[in-house]
Amino acid sequence: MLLVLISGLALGALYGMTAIVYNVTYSTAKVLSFGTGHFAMVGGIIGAFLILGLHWPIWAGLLGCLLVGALFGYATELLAVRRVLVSSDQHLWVLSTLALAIMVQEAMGLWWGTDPTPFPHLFAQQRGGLLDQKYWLPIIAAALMAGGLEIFYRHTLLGKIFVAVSEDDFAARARGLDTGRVRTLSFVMAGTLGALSGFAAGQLTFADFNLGTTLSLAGFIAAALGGIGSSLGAMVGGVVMGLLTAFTSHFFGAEYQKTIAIGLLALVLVSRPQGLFGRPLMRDV
Amino acid sequence: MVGPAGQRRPQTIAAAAIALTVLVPPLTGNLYYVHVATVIGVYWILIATLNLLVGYTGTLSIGHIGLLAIGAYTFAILAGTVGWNSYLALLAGGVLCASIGLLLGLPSLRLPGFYFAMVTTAFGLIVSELALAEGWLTNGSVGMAAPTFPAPFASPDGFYTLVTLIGALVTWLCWNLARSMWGGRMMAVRDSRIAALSLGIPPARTKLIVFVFSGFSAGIAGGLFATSQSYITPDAFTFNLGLYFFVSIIIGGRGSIIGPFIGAVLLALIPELVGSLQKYGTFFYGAILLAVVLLIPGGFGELAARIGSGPKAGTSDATGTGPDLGRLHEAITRL
Amino acid sequence: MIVTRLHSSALGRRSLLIAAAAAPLAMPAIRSARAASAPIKLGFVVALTGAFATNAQAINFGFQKALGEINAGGGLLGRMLEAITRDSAAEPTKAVSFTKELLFNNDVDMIGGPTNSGEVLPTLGVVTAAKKIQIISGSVDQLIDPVKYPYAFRCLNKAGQWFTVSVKYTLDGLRRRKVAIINDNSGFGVLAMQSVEHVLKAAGVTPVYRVNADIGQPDMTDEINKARDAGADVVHLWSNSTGFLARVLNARGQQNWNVPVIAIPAVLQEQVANLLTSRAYWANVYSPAYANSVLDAKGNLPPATQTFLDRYKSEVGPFMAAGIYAMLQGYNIPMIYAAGVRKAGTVDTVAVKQALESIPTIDLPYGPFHFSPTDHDGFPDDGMVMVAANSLHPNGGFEAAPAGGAG
Repeated sequence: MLLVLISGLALGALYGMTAIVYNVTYSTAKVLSFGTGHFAMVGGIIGAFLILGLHWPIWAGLLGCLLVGALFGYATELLAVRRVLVSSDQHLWVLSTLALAIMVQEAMGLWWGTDPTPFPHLFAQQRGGLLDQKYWLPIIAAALMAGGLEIFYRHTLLGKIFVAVSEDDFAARARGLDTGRVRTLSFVMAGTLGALSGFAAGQLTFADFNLGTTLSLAGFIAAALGGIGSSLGAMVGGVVMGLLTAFTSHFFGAEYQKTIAIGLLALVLVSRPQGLFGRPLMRDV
Repeated sequence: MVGPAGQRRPQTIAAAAIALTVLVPPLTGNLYYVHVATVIGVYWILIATLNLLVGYTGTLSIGHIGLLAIGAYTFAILAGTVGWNSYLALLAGGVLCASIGLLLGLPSLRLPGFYFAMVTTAFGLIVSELALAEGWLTNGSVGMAAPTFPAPFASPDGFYTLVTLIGALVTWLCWNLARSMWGGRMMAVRDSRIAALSLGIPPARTKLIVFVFSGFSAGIAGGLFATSQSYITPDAFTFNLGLYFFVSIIIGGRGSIIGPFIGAVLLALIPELVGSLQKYGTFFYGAILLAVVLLIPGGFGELAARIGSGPKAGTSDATGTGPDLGRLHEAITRL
Repeated sequence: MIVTRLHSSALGRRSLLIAAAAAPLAMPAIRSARAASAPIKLGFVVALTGAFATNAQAINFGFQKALGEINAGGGLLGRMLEAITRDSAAEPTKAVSFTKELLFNNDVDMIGGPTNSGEVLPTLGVVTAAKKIQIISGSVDQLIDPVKYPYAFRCLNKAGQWFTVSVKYTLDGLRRRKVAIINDNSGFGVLAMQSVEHVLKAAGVTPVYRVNADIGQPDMTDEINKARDAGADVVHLWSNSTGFLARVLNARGQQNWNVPVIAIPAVLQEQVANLLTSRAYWANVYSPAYANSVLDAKGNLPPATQTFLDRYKSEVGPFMAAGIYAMLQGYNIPMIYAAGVRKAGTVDTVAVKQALESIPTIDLPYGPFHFSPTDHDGFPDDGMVMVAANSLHPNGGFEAAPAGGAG
């Protein structure tokens, strides 16, 4: 039972990190990218490729993975977001990020293969048991990420600029802030954080090209549950999702995993659309 | 589509051309061509109404493939195992999917587009998960055989005729809906929700009605799909296929009926022609979608309209803004 | 045979008319003469991309090689064989569509494949209605039915044989009765669960633990612990996913539970070993493999298998990971068809069907096939031999599993 709890927490940590990444892009650009889960997928695969395939040392593999994540984030903003936000149609970025996510997932599947492959063991440690690093790595990474972001937003100038842009885009622009540059930066940050989460959870999920869609969906449900725009909400949502998944698999079998996940989402959307800690979604006029 | 006569002519020509092309496959006597044409026709029945939802009201439903699956299995179970009349089973499938559309839409249509897109994606994934798991109902991975329709629609040519007739009916319905006040209403909801509200158009209710209608049509398409394949298994309803429906509409252009039809035909024919490049199929769907969204958000419909109105476009730009000296002089001298 | 008779007298108008009218009648004669040298077309629907692509690619390799050998030997009935291959990408709708294309557009004489059971199911009705021989490459039992699909034959073992041979080894060889079954939740996993339980029940055994776990679940420790807690002394694994198999074996190893595992032949693939965190986890794993891959006491493969590998040794490299049996399976398809055509003396479907049903044994490197009017499966139970997974030799062969297991 304790094992189910721990694995649920670890999975929840990954979902929570994905939810945080959703928040990062949403706060500055009001964009929820379909490819958010794909940052983690790419992170995991590149990490496995660099360390196991090219035999780079672990720190180099981590750096390489983060760099690729940053580039991927930048590319997302450049290709799928920048031009699209110019047009007044709200829906287009949903389509463009979906398109880009599909392309990246397929490209990864074609290059890396469709079977999940092993992710390198990062620290010398006896395998197995409750304290296996595949459980505590994502949990620690999630805590660091949430904490680090809070420090960033509250105590650094750049972070406060992010907050300003997310509160009121027009006012920030009127004060001379380059919101376009902020947006680009937030996507780069999102890509890096996403890749980090994929690297940390790699031993849990394996390097798997399928992870993209699953994580985008699960991470979104976690974000919606916790309330988009709140880091605390993201973590809480992630943990709830993770534990729910682990326990229902344990008691009812794996067949109803997705059904339960969407049941949760439907419940949240019907009763409290802004989630546990979020602000009301739509401000009409 | 209402507009000056000059704009209507190319569309009438296109419609006539399509009507003629529809007659070709059975004339070739080649059962393979008839099969491909039948399947495209079945997909079109779903795409036509999905187009109203996605293209006209701007509601992004990505998981419509789930409704196709439910329609297909309902038909196979009712007409096959239980032994109902095929037409009744077909209608039952449509009604069931319409009800599911209602249940799914009620809570989620008030939410922002991304939320709804995610909900429908999850729905599509769940349906295939359940189709596999609920073996007592669906036979699980072994699947079920789908019965044919009674004569004269039993043979491949006959069935093709049935699909064409239903397709024509659905197209006519959508065409009229788009041309009527509903068309403007749907597009108002899509383009400016707040303005629509201020005019007394309820956006959520409009979207719900269209969603239910598209659900009904998807259910019908599902039953016909089952017959066209003669045997259905859960892995026939891939996410890839759902994506294909979606991309056809986007590249065809929102606010157009013919655009998505051309999009659907093109995207369906390409895999048949490029055999060895199969594995890049999904990648290309994504690439096409991205290209269209970035370059021609209005899809081919917009492209055609731009081309169609090309020669005339220049004239309106030619009028510059400058004082009309003659009138000014007249006004002054008349004072 | 249409005989044209031209009036032997001087060519008058009437004779010309008769000649003109008779000329089209002569065409069939000319056409059948041309047909006698036209190639025999084999349509081949194979999932070269998509799920289980590595397996299908190995099958395709064997298929093309068999075709080449027959052509090198002068072809069939004096006609060369021509393969028209279509990649169905593991999608049933494409399998159906391509099957129809091959049948109606390309006018093939027979259909080989598809290579996944899920794709075979919808094509059976189509090919039967078109009255062509179909040699399927899927293992699910329900695919073959000599009454419903009279022209369909199988070129490999049927899934039920894996189960009967494995259960026999479990009960008589390993002498264990507390069985835990851990399958995935794919179509095959669910079906396999039902089949294995059925076979066990016939022997009076009920599994102590059974689960269809999510095929993508990253960690299988929970399931392993539950099986252990239920008192299992042997574990059955019937999943086609190498990732899933590896994860269960990893969990078993990490929990230090040395329970014997019996799994589907996919567990024998090098790919699975590569996914294990330790090669030691591949020990105490057994699988119903094929006599064609079992080594004798000197470590040699059966002669027919070795001949095949030697003949194509420069090309087999990339396909070895899928298992020798996969290549030999594809090799079966043209060979079985050729045996039937040679005996029948024609490509006529009904004649070939009857010929295949009457040949006592078709001996192929994969194994012997014996079809009959009531049996279109053809592969004998003793063509399957339990082997130990970690006994994989560099030449691709395995050692037979010891009768009592490794202990």
